[in-house]
Amino acid sequence: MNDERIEQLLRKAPRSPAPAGLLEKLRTDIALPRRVETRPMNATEAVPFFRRWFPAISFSVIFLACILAIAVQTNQIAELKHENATLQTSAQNLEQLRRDNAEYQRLKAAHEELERLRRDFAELQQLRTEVAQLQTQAQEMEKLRAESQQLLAASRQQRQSSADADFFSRNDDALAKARAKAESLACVNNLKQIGLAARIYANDQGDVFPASFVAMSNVLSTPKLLICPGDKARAAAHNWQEFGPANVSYEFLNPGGSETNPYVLLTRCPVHGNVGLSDGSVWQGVGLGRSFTIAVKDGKQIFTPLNPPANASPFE
Amino acid sequence: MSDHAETLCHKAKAGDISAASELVGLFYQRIFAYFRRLCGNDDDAADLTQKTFFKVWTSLASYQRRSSFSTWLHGIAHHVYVDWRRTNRAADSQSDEWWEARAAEGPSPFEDAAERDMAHRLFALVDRLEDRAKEAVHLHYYQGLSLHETAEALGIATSTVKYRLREALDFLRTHTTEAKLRPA
Repeated sequence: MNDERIEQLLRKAPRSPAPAGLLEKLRTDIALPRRVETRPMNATEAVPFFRRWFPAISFSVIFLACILAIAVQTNQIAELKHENATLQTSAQNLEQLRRDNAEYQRLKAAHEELERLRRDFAELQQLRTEVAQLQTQAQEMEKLRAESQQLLAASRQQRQSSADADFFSRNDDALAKARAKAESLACVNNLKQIGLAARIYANDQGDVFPASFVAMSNVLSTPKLLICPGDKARAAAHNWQEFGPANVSYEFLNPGGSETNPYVLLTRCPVHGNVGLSDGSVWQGVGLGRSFTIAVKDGKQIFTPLNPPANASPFE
Repeated sequence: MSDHAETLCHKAKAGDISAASELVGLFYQRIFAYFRRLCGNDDDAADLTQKTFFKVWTSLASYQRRSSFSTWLHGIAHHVYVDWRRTNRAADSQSDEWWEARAAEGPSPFEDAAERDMAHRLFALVDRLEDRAKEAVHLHYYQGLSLHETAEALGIATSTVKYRLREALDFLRTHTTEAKLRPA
C-alpha cells in the first residue's frame, strides 16, 4: 500500500456522533465576555491616533535620542581633541621659550662680560695715554734738565754764584719726582695688563688663574710687561723663548687660584708696592698717596683698602 | 464556512449569544469527534468538548484573527487534550469493534469490505503511533486541517508537521505491509 492510498483511507476516517444533549449543554454554558460595542471591521480607523502611531513615534524618539547622544559625544570628542592639540602646541612653545630664555641669559652674561672687558680696555687705553703723556713730560723734563745743566754750567762758569746752584738743585728734585711718578704709573699699567691677561686666561680655563707668568704667554702680548720700569736691576726678555726668572720684576701671588674672590692679591710690585687684585684692578703702594692693608687668610693675601675715596678708581 | 464562522465570531465577541450558539452548532461535532478518537470514550470527549468551548468564550476577546477560527479552535482543543492527558491518564485504545461500529452507524465511506478492513487496520495502527505523530495525523487527516493550520494548532512549524506526518506514513506503510505478508 502506497502513501497516497494510506492518506486517502485516513481522510475517510468515520466521525463519532456527539451524544444527545451535548449541543444544548454547550449552548447553555455559553458565557460570553461583557458586551462591548461592535467595532468596525477596519479596526485601524477606530484606533486612536496616538495608539496607532505609538510604535513609530517611540522608535523615532529613541532613534532621535540616540542620534542626539552620538552628536553630543562626537562634539565633546572634537572639543577634547582641539584642547589637546592646543595644549601640545603650548607645551612646544613653552619648551622653545625656555630654550630662548636660557640662550638669552647666556648671551646676557657674555654681553656683560664683554662690557666689562671693554671698560677695562678703555681704562687701559686711558692709562697708556697717561703713560705716554708722562713719558713725553719726562722727555721734556730730560730736555729741560739738559738745558738746565747747560745753563748751570754756563752760569757756573760765568757767575760762579751759589744762588744759581740752589736753583738747579731744586730743578733736579722736581725732575726726580716726575720720573718716579711716571715709573709708578708705567708699573701700574704693567700690572693692569697682567691682571687683564690673567682674567682672560681664567675665563677660558674655568675661572682659574694661570699657575705662572709663563702660562700666560698666549694671553700676554710681550714679556717686557713683566719688568717694572723702576727695577733697574733686571732686564726684560725680548720674547717668551728667552724669558726666565731673571726677566720678571713682579710677584705672582695667586697662581692657580680662583677668580671668584676679587680681593685676593694677584700680583705685586716689590719696587713701588703696587698690587694687582683678582678682579683686575690695581692699587698704588703705600707712600704714593693710597693706603691699604694685606691680611693672610687660607694661604691667600687678602686686600683691604683703608679709607678709599668714594669716587676714585682703584689705581689712582 | 470560514467567512461565515469569522462573522459569527465577530458577533460573538460583541456579545451576540445567538452567534455564539451558531458557532457551537457549527463546530461541536468536529471537536467532539476529535476528542472521541483521542480519548477513547464518550464521557471524556464530551467533558473535554465542554472545556474547550468554555476556554473559547473566555479567550474570545484575545482572538486576533491571525488564523482562521477553526484553526484557533483546534489549537485550544489540542491544549485541552494535552492538559487532560497530563493530569488524568493515557487514552483508551480504540478497538476494531469501535471503528466497525462507527462505520456501521451511517453510510460507509469505504467502497468495499476489503477497503474497510484495510482502513480499520490503519486506524488501529494510528492509535499505536507516538503522541506527536498521532496528534498531527488526527488534525491533518481526521479533522481535515491543512498543513499550515495543523502547524498553527499544534504551535509548531509547518516543516515539523510534514516531518511528523512522514514518520507516521512510514510507520503505517511498513506495518500494513507486514500485516499483509502475515498469514491469516
